[in-house]
Amino acid sequence: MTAESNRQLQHLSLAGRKHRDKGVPCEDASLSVSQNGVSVVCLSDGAGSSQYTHADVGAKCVVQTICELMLKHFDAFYYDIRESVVKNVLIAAIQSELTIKAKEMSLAGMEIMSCTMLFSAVKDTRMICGHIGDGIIARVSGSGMQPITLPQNGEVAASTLFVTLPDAQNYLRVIRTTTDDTHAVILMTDGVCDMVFDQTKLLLMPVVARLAELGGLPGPERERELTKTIRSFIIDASPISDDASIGLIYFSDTEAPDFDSLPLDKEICHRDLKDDLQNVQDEILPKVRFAREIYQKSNALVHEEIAGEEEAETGNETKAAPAHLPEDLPEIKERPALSGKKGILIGVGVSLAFMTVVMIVYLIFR
Amino acid sequence: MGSKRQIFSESDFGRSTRRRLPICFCLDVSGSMSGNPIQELNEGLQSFFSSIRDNEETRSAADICIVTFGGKVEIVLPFGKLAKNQSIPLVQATTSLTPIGEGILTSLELLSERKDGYKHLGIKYYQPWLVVITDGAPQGEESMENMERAIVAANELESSGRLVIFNIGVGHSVDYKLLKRLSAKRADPISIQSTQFSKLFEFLGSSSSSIISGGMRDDALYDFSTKQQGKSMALDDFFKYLEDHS
Repeated sequence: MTAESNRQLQHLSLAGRKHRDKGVPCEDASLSVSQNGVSVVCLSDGAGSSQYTHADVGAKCVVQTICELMLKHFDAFYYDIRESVVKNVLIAAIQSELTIKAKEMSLAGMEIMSCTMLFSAVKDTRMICGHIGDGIIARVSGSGMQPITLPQNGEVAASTLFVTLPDAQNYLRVIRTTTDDTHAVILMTDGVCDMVFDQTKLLLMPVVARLAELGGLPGPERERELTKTIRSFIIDASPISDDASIGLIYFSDTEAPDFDSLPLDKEICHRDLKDDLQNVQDEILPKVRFAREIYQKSNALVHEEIAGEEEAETGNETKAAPAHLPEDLPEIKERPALSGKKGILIGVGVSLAFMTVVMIVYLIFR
Repeated sequence: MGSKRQIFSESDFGRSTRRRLPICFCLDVSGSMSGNPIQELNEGLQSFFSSIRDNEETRSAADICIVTFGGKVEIVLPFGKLAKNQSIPLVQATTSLTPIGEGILTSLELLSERKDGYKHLGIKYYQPWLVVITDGAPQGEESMENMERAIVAANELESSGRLVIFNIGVGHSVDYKLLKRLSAKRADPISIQSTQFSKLFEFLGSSSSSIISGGMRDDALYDFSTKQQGKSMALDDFFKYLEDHS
């Protein structure tokens, strides 16, 4: 049982040297909060390229929005099994806040506030995590540690995904699980993640568990030690270090791992480049076409039956139509580049329109 | 459970070196480059490598290969991380023709293989650079056909944002019209005199450093607003633009 009193939270965002040395503010944001049995930690990494002029504002807005939403509506997000609705609601909430913030600040739109998002929320032994973009969320337990969600990167190093994308809900990961023997949950933006996670081996370095252990220190000391460590070994390690954020949920009534027995190395994970989804689509296409034929024939039969029944006026209930099959398989394409204000507005529009339909359906049928 | 005091050291953390910037130099070593031009080119290359090696970040990120074309296409330096004391081979001028198309096609193939290697291992990378330097026009058997194939392949990669192209002409004998077509994004090829090689490589070194440090976008390597001079962008304007936009 993880009562709120047994959870210690910490969040931290430090400007990397590539910003600090030029007097540019930190574009990461982080927040942690506990209230009424719910604990939330959220990080956001503001987009780095020069066109994202207000990425720091966006990042702050995102962490605030997510923390408020999770504190107030943990159960709603935890129990609803409609994944697409959950993701649409989260993205609609974030994009609405960003759009309003952009309006308040007389900005061209929310695209210039683009940022990633990582959060973890815990209530008793329930846990929900959300992630879009790079960075990582990991779980530390008495038996070791594992990533909960891996970095999302585009084809090239500098590219990732942002909450402001018109189709951000398609990339958002939402994971619901339980904490059980979890000793700590650690969230890291890429500024930290790149230094402690080997992407070629998908290996979290043992130092991650030791950083998480700082979560067990008393409040002021916890923040001081974590700041000192991140600053010394990550920020100051390179003249071009990135902004770095870290978030912790530490469960004080659980076992820490044996730090000395955590693996220092493992084999490289080789990706089979030929095994991509386009090939999978090509492989299943004949079956999909055949299934469509079956569906069309059975649909025609149903129509005939319904027509017959209507003619006979039997008053029987209409049979449910067979599940819909797509007209054709969608072509997998690379994610289009951010499509500017128009794309963003369409994205918000789609999210909001979807929300409206869901609400109308709910009101009619409840 | 009480928290144990943790003592950290530098060795506990990895180095953020798992991002690569693949750069392929595709260099003209045909007969017309003999003498001073090839010497200037070598000096420029050596100073480029020195600047890359002197900077810890670029040394671990820059992944460089050199292809030459002059009579035949040769891979003078294959891709690979630069060792601190590794010497860079000198490129030699030949007395032969200019199979530029074949040189570019070989370079594109090498870049593609390299990218697949990164993907296979999960290594992050920046958009590859293809730096083509020539002082002439395609010469040799099937040279025009190969150049056309190279242009199509390069344009396709570049327009989908998967390649950054530097099409650089040296002197007045360059077929600038053809060289221009190599890049669909660059308004005009970059034009230099062989005496400006050091400046060119200095710029390439600092640009690669800016890309790696995240301070520069790929578009800044293309998007000119300065006044054009004739059929090509003079190097000084090019530098000025970069300084303004970096």
